[in-house]
Amino acid sequence: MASEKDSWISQIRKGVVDIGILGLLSGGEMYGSQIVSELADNPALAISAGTVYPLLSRLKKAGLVASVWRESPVGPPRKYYSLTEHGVSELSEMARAWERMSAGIDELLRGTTDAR
Amino acid sequence: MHADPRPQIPYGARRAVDDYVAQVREALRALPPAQFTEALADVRDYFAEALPEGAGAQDVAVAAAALGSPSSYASAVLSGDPARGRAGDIASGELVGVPYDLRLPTAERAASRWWDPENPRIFVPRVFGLGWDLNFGAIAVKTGLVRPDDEDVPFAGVGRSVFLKALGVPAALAAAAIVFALAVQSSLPATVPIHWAIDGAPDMFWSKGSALLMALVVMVVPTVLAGSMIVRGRSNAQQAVTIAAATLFGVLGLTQYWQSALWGLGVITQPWVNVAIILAMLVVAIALPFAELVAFSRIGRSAEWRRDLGDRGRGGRHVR
Repeated sequence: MASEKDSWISQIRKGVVDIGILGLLSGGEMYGSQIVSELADNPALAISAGTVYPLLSRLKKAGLVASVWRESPVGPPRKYYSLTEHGVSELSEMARAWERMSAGIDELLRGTTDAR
Repeated sequence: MHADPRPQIPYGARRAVDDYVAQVREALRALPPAQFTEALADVRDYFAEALPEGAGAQDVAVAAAALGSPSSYASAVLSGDPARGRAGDIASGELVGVPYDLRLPTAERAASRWWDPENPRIFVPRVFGLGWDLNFGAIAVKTGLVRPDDEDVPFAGVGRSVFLKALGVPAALAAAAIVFALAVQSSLPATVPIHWAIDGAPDMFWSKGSALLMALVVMVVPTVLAGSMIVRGRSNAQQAVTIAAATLFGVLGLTQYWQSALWGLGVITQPWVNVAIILAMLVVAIALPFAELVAFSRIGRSAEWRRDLGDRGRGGRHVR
Protein backbone atom coordinates (compact mmCIF):
# COMPACT_ATOMS: atom_id res chain seq x y z
CA MET A 1 0.00 0.00 0.00
CA ALA A 2 2.76 2.42 0.93
CA SER A 3 4.57 1.90 -2.36
CA GLU A 4 1.39 2.53 -4.35
CA LYS A 5 0.89 5.82 -2.57
CA ASP A 6 4.55 6.75 -3.10
CA SER A 7 4.22 6.01 -6.79
CA TRP A 8 1.08 8.15 -7.12
CA ILE A 9 2.83 11.01 -5.35
CA SER A 10 5.88 10.72 -7.54
CA GLN A 11 3.64 10.79 -10.61
CA ILE A 12 2.11 14.03 -9.36
CA ARG A 13 5.54 15.45 -8.61
CA LYS A 14 6.72 14.71 -12.14
CA GLY A 15 3.80 16.70 -13.44
CA VAL A 16 4.39 19.79 -11.32
CA VAL A 17 8.16 20.26 -11.57
CA ASP A 18 7.76 22.40 -14.71
CA ILE A 19 5.34 24.83 -13.10
CA GLY A 20 7.45 24.74 -9.93
CA ILE A 21 10.57 25.95 -11.72
CA LEU A 22 8.73 28.51 -13.86
CA GLY A 23 6.97 29.81 -10.75
CA LEU A 24 10.25 30.06 -8.86
CA LEU A 25 11.87 32.01 -11.70
CA SER A 26 8.94 34.42 -11.92
CA GLY A 27 10.39 35.98 -8.78
CA GLY A 28 13.60 36.89 -10.61
CA GLU A 29 16.64 35.21 -12.14
CA MET A 30 18.43 32.50 -10.19
CA TYR A 31 21.46 30.30 -10.71
CA GLY A 32 21.35 26.52 -10.96
CA SER A 33 22.28 25.39 -7.47
CA GLN A 34 20.12 28.15 -6.02
CA ILE A 35 17.11 26.73 -7.89
CA VAL A 36 17.96 23.23 -6.68
CA SER A 37 18.24 24.26 -3.03
CA GLU A 38 15.04 26.34 -3.08
CA LEU A 39 13.11 23.38 -4.49
CA ALA A 40 14.85 20.88 -2.20
CA ASP A 41 13.98 23.10 0.79
CA ASN A 42 10.38 22.24 0.16
CA PRO A 43 10.17 18.67 1.48
CA ALA A 44 6.77 18.10 -0.07
CA LEU A 45 8.27 18.57 -3.53
CA ALA A 46 11.48 16.54 -3.02
CA ILE A 47 12.96 17.67 -6.33
CA SER A 48 16.61 16.78 -6.81
CA ALA A 49 19.44 18.19 -8.91
CA GLY A 50 19.13 15.20 -11.24
CA THR A 51 15.60 16.37 -12.12
CA VAL A 52 16.21 20.11 -12.19
CA TYR A 53 19.12 20.38 -14.61
CA PRO A 54 17.68 18.26 -17.44
CA LEU A 55 14.41 20.12 -17.00
CA LEU A 56 16.13 23.49 -17.23
CA SER A 57 17.70 22.30 -20.49
CA ARG A 58 14.32 21.23 -21.79
CA LEU A 59 12.72 24.53 -20.80
CA LYS A 60 15.53 26.37 -22.57
CA LYS A 61 15.06 24.29 -25.71
CA ALA A 62 11.33 25.03 -25.52
CA GLY A 63 12.08 28.75 -25.33
CA LEU A 64 10.45 29.26 -21.92
CA VAL A 65 13.67 29.92 -20.04
CA ALA A 66 16.92 31.62 -21.00
CA SER A 67 20.32 31.51 -19.32
CA VAL A 68 23.33 33.78 -19.17
CA TRP A 69 26.63 33.73 -17.28
CA ARG A 70 27.18 36.54 -14.78
CA GLU A 71 30.14 37.47 -12.64
CA SER A 72 29.64 36.57 -9.01
CA PRO A 73 30.92 38.63 -6.05
CA VAL A 74 31.72 35.52 -4.04
CA GLY A 75 33.48 33.25 -6.49
CA PRO A 76 33.50 32.00 -10.08
CA PRO A 77 30.87 33.16 -12.57
CA ARG A 78 27.43 31.63 -12.33
CA LYS A 79 24.88 30.72 -14.96
CA TYR A 80 21.65 32.56 -14.23
CA TYR A 81 18.25 31.42 -15.46
CA SER A 82 15.25 33.65 -16.15
CA LEU A 83 11.84 33.44 -17.77
CA THR A 84 11.46 34.55 -21.36
CA GLU A 85 8.34 36.41 -22.49
CA HIS A 86 7.03 33.13 -23.78
CA GLY A 87 7.80 31.58 -20.39
CA VAL A 88 5.92 34.31 -18.55
CA SER A 89 2.75 33.78 -20.60
CA GLU A 90 3.07 30.00 -20.44
CA LEU A 91 3.40 30.24 -16.65
CA SER A 92 0.25 32.31 -16.25
CA GLU A 93 -1.69 29.84 -18.40
CA MET A 94 -0.36 26.96 -16.31
CA ALA A 95 -1.15 28.82 -13.09
CA ARG A 96 -4.73 29.36 -14.20
CA ALA A 97 -5.11 25.72 -15.11
CA TRP A 98 -3.60 24.75 -11.75
CA GLU A 99 -6.07 26.98 -9.88
CA ARG A 100 -9.02 25.46 -11.67
CA MET A 101 -7.82 21.92 -11.17
CA SER A 102 -6.91 22.23 -7.50
CA ALA A 103 -10.22 24.03 -6.79
CA GLY A 104 -12.03 21.13 -8.41
CA ILE A 105 -10.08 18.53 -6.43
CA ASP A 106 -10.51 20.48 -3.18
CA GLU A 107 -14.26 20.43 -3.71
CA LEU A 108 -14.27 16.69 -4.24
CA LEU A 109 -12.20 16.23 -1.07
CA ARG A 110 -14.59 18.42 0.93
CA GLY A 111 -17.36 16.17 -0.34
CA THR A 112 -15.41 13.17 0.97
CA THR A 113 -14.91 14.62 4.50
CA ASP A 114 -18.58 15.76 4.67
CA ALA A 115 -19.74 12.28 3.77
CA ARG A 116 -17.82 10.90 6.77
CA MET B 1 32.04 30.67 -31.76
CA HIS B 2 29.46 27.96 -31.31
CA ALA B 3 30.12 25.06 -33.66
CA ASP B 4 26.88 23.41 -34.72
CA PRO B 5 26.68 20.47 -32.35
CA ARG B 6 24.46 18.41 -34.62
CA PRO B 7 25.87 15.80 -37.02
CA GLN B 8 26.10 17.32 -40.45
CA ILE B 9 23.21 16.77 -42.80
CA PRO B 10 23.77 17.78 -46.44
CA TYR B 11 22.58 21.33 -47.02
CA GLY B 12 20.01 20.49 -49.68
CA ALA B 13 18.41 17.89 -47.44
CA ARG B 14 18.09 19.95 -44.28
CA ARG B 15 14.57 21.27 -44.74
CA ALA B 16 13.17 17.83 -45.54
CA VAL B 17 14.94 16.30 -42.53
CA ASP B 18 13.78 19.13 -40.27
CA ASP B 19 10.21 18.50 -41.43
CA TYR B 20 10.46 14.83 -40.61
CA VAL B 21 12.05 15.53 -37.22
CA ALA B 22 9.41 18.16 -36.39
CA GLN B 23 6.64 15.64 -36.99
CA VAL B 24 8.37 12.99 -34.90
CA ARG B 25 8.98 15.56 -32.15
CA GLU B 26 5.26 16.42 -32.01
CA ALA B 27 4.32 12.79 -31.62
CA LEU B 28 6.96 12.14 -28.94
CA ARG B 29 6.15 15.02 -26.60
CA ALA B 30 5.01 12.61 -23.91
CA LEU B 31 8.44 11.01 -23.51
CA PRO B 32 10.65 11.82 -20.51
CA PRO B 33 13.19 14.50 -21.47
CA ALA B 34 16.27 12.28 -21.72
CA GLN B 35 14.58 9.75 -23.98
CA PHE B 36 12.91 12.51 -25.98
CA THR B 37 16.23 14.17 -26.77
CA GLU B 38 17.89 10.87 -27.51
CA ALA B 39 15.10 9.71 -29.82
CA LEU B 40 15.36 12.89 -31.86
CA ALA B 41 19.15 12.67 -31.88
CA ASP B 42 18.84 9.08 -33.19
CA VAL B 43 16.65 10.26 -36.05
CA ARG B 44 19.00 13.06 -37.06
CA ASP B 45 22.00 10.77 -36.73
CA TYR B 46 20.28 8.18 -38.92
CA PHE B 47 19.81 10.75 -41.68
CA ALA B 48 23.30 12.14 -41.28
CA GLU B 49 24.71 8.66 -41.81
CA ALA B 50 22.26 7.55 -44.51
CA LEU B 51 22.39 10.61 -46.73
CA PRO B 52 25.24 10.95 -49.23
CA GLU B 53 27.04 14.25 -49.91
CA GLY B 54 24.88 16.64 -51.88
CA ALA B 55 21.68 14.78 -51.05
CA GLY B 56 18.39 16.55 -51.62
CA ALA B 57 14.76 16.17 -50.59
CA GLN B 58 14.29 13.12 -52.84
CA ASP B 59 17.09 11.28 -51.06
CA VAL B 60 15.55 12.16 -47.71
CA ALA B 61 12.28 10.55 -48.82
CA VAL B 62 14.16 7.41 -49.80
CA ALA B 63 16.05 7.32 -46.49
CA ALA B 64 12.87 8.05 -44.54
CA ALA B 65 11.22 5.01 -46.10
CA ALA B 66 13.38 2.77 -43.92
CA LEU B 67 12.11 4.51 -40.77
CA GLY B 68 8.51 4.63 -41.89
CA SER B 69 6.25 7.66 -41.68
CA PRO B 70 7.01 10.05 -38.77
CA SER B 71 3.93 8.86 -36.88
CA SER B 72 4.66 5.17 -37.33
CA TYR B 73 8.28 5.73 -36.31
CA ALA B 74 7.11 7.68 -33.27
CA SER B 75 4.72 4.93 -32.20
CA ALA B 76 7.53 2.43 -32.60
CA VAL B 77 9.61 4.55 -30.20
CA LEU B 78 6.74 4.91 -27.72
CA SER B 79 6.08 1.18 -27.72
CA GLY B 80 9.72 0.61 -26.80
CA ASP B 81 10.85 -0.77 -30.14
CA PRO B 82 12.60 2.26 -31.63
CA ALA B 83 14.70 0.47 -34.20
CA ARG B 84 11.84 -1.38 -35.86
CA GLY B 85 12.15 0.76 -38.94
CA ARG B 86 15.86 0.09 -39.29
CA ALA B 87 16.66 -3.06 -41.18
CA GLY B 88 17.49 -5.98 -38.90
CA ASP B 89 18.09 -4.04 -35.68
CA ILE B 90 16.33 -4.97 -32.46
CA ALA B 91 15.20 -3.19 -29.37
CA SER B 92 16.71 -2.11 -26.08
CA GLY B 93 15.40 -2.65 -22.58
CA GLU B 94 16.15 -4.48 -19.37
CA LEU B 95 16.92 -8.11 -18.63
CA VAL B 96 16.46 -9.05 -14.96
CA GLY B 97 17.26 -5.49 -13.99
CA VAL B 98 20.35 -5.27 -16.19
CA PRO B 99 20.00 -2.85 -19.09
CA TYR B 100 20.86 -3.90 -22.63
CA ASP B 101 20.94 -2.18 -25.99
CA LEU B 102 21.34 -4.11 -29.20
CA ARG B 103 20.67 -1.21 -31.57
CA LEU B 104 23.55 -0.36 -33.84
CA PRO B 105 25.81 1.81 -31.70
CA THR B 106 26.10 5.41 -32.82
CA ALA B 107 28.68 7.97 -31.77
CA GLU B 108 25.83 10.31 -30.87
CA ARG B 109 24.38 7.82 -28.40
CA ALA B 110 27.83 7.21 -26.94
CA ALA B 111 28.34 10.95 -26.56
CA SER B 112 25.01 11.44 -24.78
CA ARG B 113 25.71 8.59 -22.34
CA TRP B 114 29.43 8.88 -21.60
CA TRP B 115 29.35 12.65 -21.01
CA ASP B 116 26.04 13.61 -19.38
CA PRO B 117 26.82 15.95 -16.49
CA GLU B 118 23.12 16.69 -15.97
CA ASN B 119 22.53 13.05 -15.08
CA PRO B 120 23.80 12.28 -11.55
CA ARG B 121 24.08 8.55 -12.28
CA ILE B 122 27.66 7.37 -12.72
CA PHE B 123 26.55 4.04 -14.20
CA VAL B 124 24.36 4.34 -17.28
CA PRO B 125 22.99 1.68 -19.64
CA ARG B 126 25.72 0.40 -21.93
CA VAL B 127 25.73 1.95 -25.39
CA PHE B 128 25.99 -1.48 -26.96
CA GLY B 129 25.51 -4.79 -25.23
CA LEU B 130 24.52 -5.84 -21.74
CA GLY B 131 25.39 -3.94 -18.61
CA TRP B 132 26.55 -0.46 -17.72
CA ASP B 133 28.94 2.17 -19.04
CA LEU B 134 30.57 5.02 -17.16
CA ASN B 135 29.04 8.49 -17.29
CA PHE B 136 32.24 10.55 -17.01
CA GLY B 137 30.12 13.68 -16.77
CA ALA B 138 28.56 12.48 -13.51
CA ILE B 139 31.99 11.65 -12.11
CA ALA B 140 33.20 15.13 -13.06
CA VAL B 141 30.25 16.72 -11.25
CA LYS B 142 30.61 14.55 -8.15
CA THR B 143 34.31 15.41 -7.90
CA GLY B 144 33.46 19.09 -8.19
CA LEU B 145 35.43 19.58 -11.41
CA VAL B 146 32.41 20.49 -13.47
CA ARG B 147 28.92 21.81 -12.81
CA PRO B 148 25.91 20.14 -14.43
CA ASP B 149 25.08 23.23 -16.49
CA ASP B 150 28.56 24.55 -17.29
CA GLU B 151 27.85 24.13 -20.99
CA ASP B 152 24.55 24.72 -22.79
CA VAL B 153 25.50 21.93 -25.19
CA PRO B 154 28.46 19.67 -24.32
CA PHE B 155 31.67 20.77 -26.04
CA ALA B 156 29.82 23.05 -28.48
CA GLY B 157 32.29 25.89 -27.88
CA VAL B 158 35.38 23.77 -28.47
CA GLY B 159 37.22 24.58 -31.66
CA ARG B 160 38.26 22.06 -34.29
CA SER B 161 41.94 22.75 -33.70
CA VAL B 162 41.57 21.62 -30.09
CA PHE B 163 40.17 18.29 -31.19
CA LEU B 164 42.89 17.87 -33.81
CA LYS B 165 45.54 18.48 -31.16
CA ALA B 166 43.81 16.14 -28.71
CA LEU B 167 43.83 13.44 -31.38
CA GLY B 168 47.59 13.65 -30.96
CA VAL B 169 47.28 11.77 -27.67
CA PRO B 170 45.99 8.44 -29.04
CA ALA B 171 48.13 8.97 -32.12
CA ALA B 172 51.22 9.39 -29.94
CA LEU B 173 50.34 6.24 -27.99
CA ALA B 174 50.06 4.31 -31.27
CA ALA B 175 53.34 5.79 -32.49
CA ALA B 176 55.03 4.82 -29.23
CA ALA B 177 53.85 1.24 -29.72
CA ILE B 178 55.21 1.20 -33.27
CA VAL B 179 58.58 2.64 -32.23
CA PHE B 180 58.84 0.17 -29.39
CA ALA B 181 57.91 -2.67 -31.71
CA LEU B 182 60.57 -1.66 -34.23
CA ALA B 183 63.09 -1.77 -31.43
CA VAL B 184 62.21 -5.10 -29.85
CA GLN B 185 60.00 -7.22 -32.06
CA SER B 186 62.84 -9.11 -33.69
CA SER B 187 64.37 -9.89 -30.30
CA LEU B 188 61.20 -11.44 -28.93
CA PRO B 189 60.69 -15.19 -28.62
CA ALA B 190 58.26 -16.83 -31.04
CA THR B 191 55.39 -16.66 -28.55
CA VAL B 192 54.63 -14.09 -25.89
CA PRO B 193 51.99 -13.95 -23.13
CA ILE B 194 49.00 -11.80 -23.91
CA HIS B 195 46.89 -12.49 -20.87
CA TRP B 196 47.64 -12.90 -17.20
CA ALA B 197 45.58 -14.62 -14.50
CA ILE B 198 44.51 -12.93 -11.30
CA ASP B 199 47.72 -13.94 -9.55
CA GLY B 200 49.83 -12.33 -12.25
CA ALA B 201 50.99 -15.52 -13.93
CA PRO B 202 50.57 -15.61 -17.73
CA ASP B 203 47.84 -17.94 -18.93
CA MET B 204 47.55 -17.27 -22.68
CA PHE B 205 50.29 -17.12 -25.29
CA TRP B 206 50.16 -15.88 -28.87
CA SER B 207 52.73 -15.63 -31.60
CA LYS B 208 54.63 -12.36 -31.34
CA GLY B 209 53.30 -11.27 -34.71
CA SER B 210 49.71 -11.74 -33.61
CA ALA B 211 50.34 -9.94 -30.34
CA LEU B 212 51.72 -6.94 -32.19
CA LEU B 213 48.93 -7.01 -34.74
CA MET B 214 46.27 -7.10 -32.03
CA ALA B 215 47.83 -4.17 -30.19
CA LEU B 216 48.03 -2.13 -33.40
CA VAL B 217 44.43 -2.86 -34.34
CA VAL B 218 43.21 -1.98 -30.85
CA MET B 219 45.10 1.31 -30.97
CA VAL B 220 44.87 2.40 -34.58
CA VAL B 221 41.23 1.65 -35.42
CA PRO B 222 39.67 3.83 -32.70
CA THR B 223 42.15 6.61 -33.50
CA VAL B 224 41.25 6.52 -37.17
CA LEU B 225 37.57 6.49 -36.23
CA ALA B 226 38.04 9.55 -34.02
CA GLY B 227 39.98 11.26 -36.80
CA SER B 228 37.18 10.56 -39.26
CA MET B 229 34.68 12.18 -36.88
CA ILE B 230 36.75 15.36 -36.94
CA VAL B 231 37.38 15.31 -40.68
CA ARG B 232 33.73 14.62 -41.51
CA GLY B 233 32.66 17.42 -39.21
CA ARG B 234 30.51 15.29 -36.92
CA SER B 235 29.12 16.91 -33.78
CA ASN B 236 31.59 18.17 -31.18
CA ALA B 237 30.30 15.72 -28.60
CA GLN B 238 30.98 12.84 -30.99
CA GLN B 239 34.47 14.13 -31.69
CA ALA B 240 35.18 14.48 -27.99
CA VAL B 241 34.03 11.01 -26.89
CA THR B 242 35.66 9.19 -29.80
CA ILE B 243 38.96 10.90 -28.98
CA ALA B 244 38.51 9.89 -25.33
CA ALA B 245 37.67 6.32 -26.34
CA ALA B 246 40.66 6.16 -28.69
CA THR B 247 42.85 7.36 -25.81
CA LEU B 248 41.46 4.63 -23.56
CA PHE B 249 42.15 1.95 -26.17
CA GLY B 250 45.55 3.50 -26.82
CA VAL B 251 46.55 3.05 -23.19
CA LEU B 252 45.24 -0.52 -23.13
CA GLY B 253 46.89 -1.49 -26.41
CA LEU B 254 50.25 0.08 -25.61
CA THR B 255 50.40 -1.45 -22.14
CA GLN B 256 49.32 -4.83 -23.50
CA TYR B 257 52.06 -4.96 -26.10
CA TRP B 258 54.70 -3.45 -23.80
CA GLN B 259 53.91 -5.97 -21.10
CA SER B 260 53.97 -8.91 -23.49
CA ALA B 261 57.27 -7.77 -24.94
CA LEU B 262 58.96 -7.15 -21.59
CA TRP B 263 57.83 -10.52 -20.35
CA GLY B 264 58.99 -12.14 -23.57
CA LEU B 265 62.39 -10.47 -23.23
CA GLY B 266 62.69 -11.68 -19.67
CA VAL B 267 62.76 -8.15 -18.26
CA ILE B 268 59.63 -8.84 -16.22
CA THR B 269 59.47 -12.20 -14.52
CA GLN B 270 57.62 -11.60 -11.27
CA PRO B 271 53.83 -12.08 -11.42
CA TRP B 272 53.22 -9.33 -8.87
CA VAL B 273 54.87 -6.83 -11.21
CA ASN B 274 52.26 -7.71 -13.82
CA VAL B 275 49.43 -7.24 -11.36
CA ALA B 276 50.83 -3.84 -10.46
CA ILE B 277 51.21 -2.88 -14.12
CA ILE B 278 47.68 -3.97 -14.98
CA LEU B 279 46.20 -2.03 -12.06
CA ALA B 280 48.18 1.07 -12.99
CA MET B 281 47.10 0.66 -16.60
CA LEU B 282 43.42 0.50 -15.65
CA VAL B 283 43.74 3.66 -13.60
CA VAL B 284 45.48 5.53 -16.41
CA ALA B 285 43.09 4.13 -19.03
CA ILE B 286 40.19 5.73 -17.16
CA ALA B 287 41.92 8.83 -15.82
CA LEU B 288 43.42 10.04 -19.09
CA PRO B 289 40.16 10.10 -21.12
CA PHE B 290 38.44 11.60 -18.10
CA ALA B 291 41.00 14.39 -17.99
CA GLU B 292 40.52 15.01 -21.72
CA LEU B 293 36.75 15.30 -21.37
CA VAL B 294 37.03 17.64 -18.38
CA ALA B 295 39.53 19.74 -20.33
CA PHE B 296 37.15 19.95 -23.30
CA SER B 297 34.35 20.94 -20.94
CA ARG B 298 36.50 23.71 -19.43
CA ILE B 299 37.32 25.02 -22.89
CA GLY B 300 33.62 24.99 -23.81
CA ARG B 301 32.78 26.80 -20.60
CA SER B 302 35.45 29.42 -21.29
CA ALA B 303 33.89 30.00 -24.70
CA GLU B 304 30.54 30.62 -23.02
CA TRP B 305 32.20 32.97 -20.52
CA ARG B 306 33.70 34.97 -23.40
CA ARG B 307 30.29 35.06 -25.06
CA ASP B 308 28.43 36.34 -21.98
CA LEU B 309 31.07 38.14 -19.95
CA GLY B 310 33.36 39.58 -22.56
CA ASP B 311 37.05 38.84 -22.56
CA ARG B 312 37.54 37.55 -19.03
CA GLY B 313 37.80 33.88 -19.83
CA ARG B 314 41.53 33.84 -20.43
CA GLY B 315 42.87 32.01 -17.38
CA GLY B 316 41.18 34.50 -15.05
CA ARG B 317 41.17 34.56 -11.27
CA HIS B 318 38.79 31.66 -10.89
CA VAL B 319 39.84 28.27 -12.16
CA ARG B 320 36.61 26.53 -11.27
